[in-house]
Amino acid sequence: MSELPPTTSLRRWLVTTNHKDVGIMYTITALFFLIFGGVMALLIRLQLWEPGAQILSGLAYNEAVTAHGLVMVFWFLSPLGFGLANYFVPLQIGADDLAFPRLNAVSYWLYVLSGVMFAISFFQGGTLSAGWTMYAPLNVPMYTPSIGSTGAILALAMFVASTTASTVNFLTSIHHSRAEGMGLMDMPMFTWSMLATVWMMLFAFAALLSVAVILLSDRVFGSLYFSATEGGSLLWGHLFWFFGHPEVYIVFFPALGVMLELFQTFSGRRLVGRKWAIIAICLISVQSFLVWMHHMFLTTINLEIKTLMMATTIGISLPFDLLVFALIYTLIKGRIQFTTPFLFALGALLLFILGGITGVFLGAIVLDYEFRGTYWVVAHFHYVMFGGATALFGGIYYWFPKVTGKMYDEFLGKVHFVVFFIGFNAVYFSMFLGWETPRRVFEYDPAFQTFHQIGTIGAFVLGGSFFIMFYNLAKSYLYGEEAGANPWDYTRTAEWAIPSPPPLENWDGRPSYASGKLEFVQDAVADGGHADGHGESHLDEYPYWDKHPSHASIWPFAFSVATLIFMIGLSGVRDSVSLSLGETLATTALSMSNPVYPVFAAVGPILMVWTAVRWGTEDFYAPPTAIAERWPFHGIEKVKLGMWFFLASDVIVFGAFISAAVFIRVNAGWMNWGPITEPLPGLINTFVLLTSSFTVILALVFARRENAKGLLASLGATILLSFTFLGIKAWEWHHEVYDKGVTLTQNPHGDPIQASIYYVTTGLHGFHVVIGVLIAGYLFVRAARGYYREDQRPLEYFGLYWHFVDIVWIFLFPLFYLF
Amino acid sequence: MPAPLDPPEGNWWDEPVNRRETIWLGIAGLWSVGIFGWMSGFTQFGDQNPIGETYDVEPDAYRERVQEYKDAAEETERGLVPPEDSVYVGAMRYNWDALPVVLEAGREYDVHLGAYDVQHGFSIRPEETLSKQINLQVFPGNEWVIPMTFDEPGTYHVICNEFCGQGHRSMHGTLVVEEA
Repeated sequence: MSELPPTTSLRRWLVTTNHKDVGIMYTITALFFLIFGGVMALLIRLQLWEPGAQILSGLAYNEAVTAHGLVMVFWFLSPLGFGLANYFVPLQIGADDLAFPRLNAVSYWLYVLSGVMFAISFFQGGTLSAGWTMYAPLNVPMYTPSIGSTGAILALAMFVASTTASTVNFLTSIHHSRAEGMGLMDMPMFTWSMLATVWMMLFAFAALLSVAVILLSDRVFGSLYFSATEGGSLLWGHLFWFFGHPEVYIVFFPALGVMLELFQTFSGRRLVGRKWAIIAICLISVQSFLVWMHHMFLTTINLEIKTLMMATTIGISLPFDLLVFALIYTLIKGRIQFTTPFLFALGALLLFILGGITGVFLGAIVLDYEFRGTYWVVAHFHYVMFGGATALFGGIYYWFPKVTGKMYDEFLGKVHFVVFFIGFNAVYFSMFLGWETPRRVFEYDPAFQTFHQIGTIGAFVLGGSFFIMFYNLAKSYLYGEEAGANPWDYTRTAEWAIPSPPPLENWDGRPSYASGKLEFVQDAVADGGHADGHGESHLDEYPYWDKHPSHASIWPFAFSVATLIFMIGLSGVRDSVSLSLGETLATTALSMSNPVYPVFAAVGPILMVWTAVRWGTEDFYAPPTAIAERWPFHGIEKVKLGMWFFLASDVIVFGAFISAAVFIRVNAGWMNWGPITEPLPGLINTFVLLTSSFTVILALVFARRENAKGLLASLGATILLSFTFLGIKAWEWHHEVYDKGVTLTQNPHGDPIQASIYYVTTGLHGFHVVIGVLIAGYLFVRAARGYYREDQRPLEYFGLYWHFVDIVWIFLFPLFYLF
Repeated sequence: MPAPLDPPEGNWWDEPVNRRETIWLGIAGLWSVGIFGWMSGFTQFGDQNPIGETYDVEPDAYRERVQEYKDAAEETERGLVPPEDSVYVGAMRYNWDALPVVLEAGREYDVHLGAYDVQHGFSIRPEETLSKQINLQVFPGNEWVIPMTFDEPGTYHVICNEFCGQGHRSMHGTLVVEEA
């Protein structure tokens, strides 16, 4: 453990794991990507100045549109919300930090480096040009061959890894570390909408991860999923939009939370219908997973299913109506203070109402025939997503005094709002007026030229307005008035009860709502015990209870850099390495044309494992909150809760892979396929894996009995059994390739896609087994050095992962070996 | 108004819903149900949707079918005249195969749509008002048969409205609709 350097040192920002530092870095990085995506947008608008202008070539235009969409949705909108959430969710729930501080740092570093990876893709022969929806089969290398296209998708996968980490972190924090007396229904509204956001993210981003991994296996290894005519193209649509619709709410909900918070503060009134607003937020989170096919109304899906999806789509507008009414009614009943943050929140509501209502039109199948592929859609989703983001800028102004201790310039803030609001409507409302313009080409009827020119001017006004904000915040940070702990009149959340900027450890005493209002309690914990028994026996067992919490670790940064190296390597490995499968394994040849990418691809994983091991052995202490509200996960230890959340997302990852296999097989005709493998090796492997689950449990039992030999023997047996599994698997693949001629792309006995599905799905499972072996090896070495006698949790949680991997196999075995 | 750290008055987390709120909720609910019923009904009974039927077909097999159709069709200067009521269109990078086609106004055709390579967007726009459009997604591996009738004679442009690659912007075809 190293000490945290002061904020003036660069090293501070590389090693910090404190949620407030990470929140600041998230926010600033997201604003940088706003400029990045904004430049793309301005290029698009310049191209549309007159019909068929050629400022960018056709391909460069497609790349600009794709990059604009991806950067704004993934690298700007969500991270800006998460920047605010990183800083303020722990403060609002009365926690010292997020549950896993180093995991939070790794989320940030993976995020910023995935953005770097995306930027690099422009220089790898051009980035992806398939639109942000990346429809299949345009997204496979046959049609988008550049290395940069693969690089862009690798960047996306890296980003998803980062969000999965922060999802697990936020879920665990909110469900594990709320101050005493703060029930779920008592949480501040911003925290509430973040909770709904991360619950949606847990499942939606897992679906995106699996669809990205399948696409990468198509692009890097050459499997055939999305070029398959057995429904590969529709499969992409289903998997992408199963993620894509919840994603709309994922980017909107943080902004909604800010809106709810600001409306309360600046109307001096509790949110009207607060309980119903919370119920509406929960309903939307669930409903968001039931509407995805409305993005596919003009595909070949049959009308009955489309009508069902239309019903669910209209259904989702009901809870939104409720939220909008709740917000308006709150204003009616309150006394409004027109400060800059409030103006942005109110602007967000107005823009969102317009975006929402125009979206209802798009929910009708009949109207989609007319509207789809026009600027109506473009205007609609900008009003919803960017309109929502307007509230996030309000959030930046609102919390700026808390973060810096300085007040922003109110006049400049209002100027920013006015310029922003005029620019916003000039660019996006002109799209409604010229809505008949086709969306994905830059040629249009000259009759619409005036609208598009207004739009282009508006875009520059809109973009320029942010420089007023940057100037305002920079000037105020340097020369602004002291804001004090609470510059607003009617705040009610805990972050305003502490100094601005808040101290490193957040609280002086333990925040508690047990009496019905916020108090800071002084507990006596110096002797290693704690004040009252909550029945949390595991805390007493924890051997380092009285240690000081750590705030600095370099390993999240190091691990993320290693990941970046691996990703850069992967992007070009297919173009520089060619594998020729000979008649036998001995004649298999690997030829390399350019060593840079393969070297990166080989060095990356080694560095990743090394940094992960250093991470694991580092003496870093993030104390579990001793006294906290944990409903509904009371009595589950912190890391175990995080493990369960992670496994829940992994269930969706495998669920998507298995769904893909079933979907393609149904499209090809279920009974046309038989197993391409023999059942016996699969059956043996099933028993081997199940036995290894048993030995993991034995290891835990021996560790509890402090039996060192038994512990090492059973962990060793687990590792041996895993190697047996992988050995049988290797034999099986060898048998398939050299005896039967079934390779990733060839299947002499049937459809080639069947071979791809078999290798990729069992390959993903095999990858999980390899990760399991690495962790088991780590545990074995540590166990040999005398760890895990007192604290057996790592063994138990590895067991959870390992049982999960075995259960997945129980599903894969019949799918690939029996039927 | 309470100060930030004071608790709000009374049982604020469990207040009964105000009567006016309930009324508004009811009105909003009824309104939504009404809109939804109208939309759903219009979809089912409004006869507005070119729904059609979809068949699985390998892209190569579909290309052959289009070729057979082209061989059977009569070639004129303005385009192909379909031999029967079936009109085939093949979407390929960066061209609409079997377009231009000459059609009769008021006659119902079965339009067959399919792609040879990637996904394309079949967007029809009348020449005078490049605005009014109908837009369908064309997938490789699917043949979509859609009954269509053109009421107004004139030229209709077909553009691709899904990204399909470098030449996407130039992917264009026409439907020439003439008086019967």
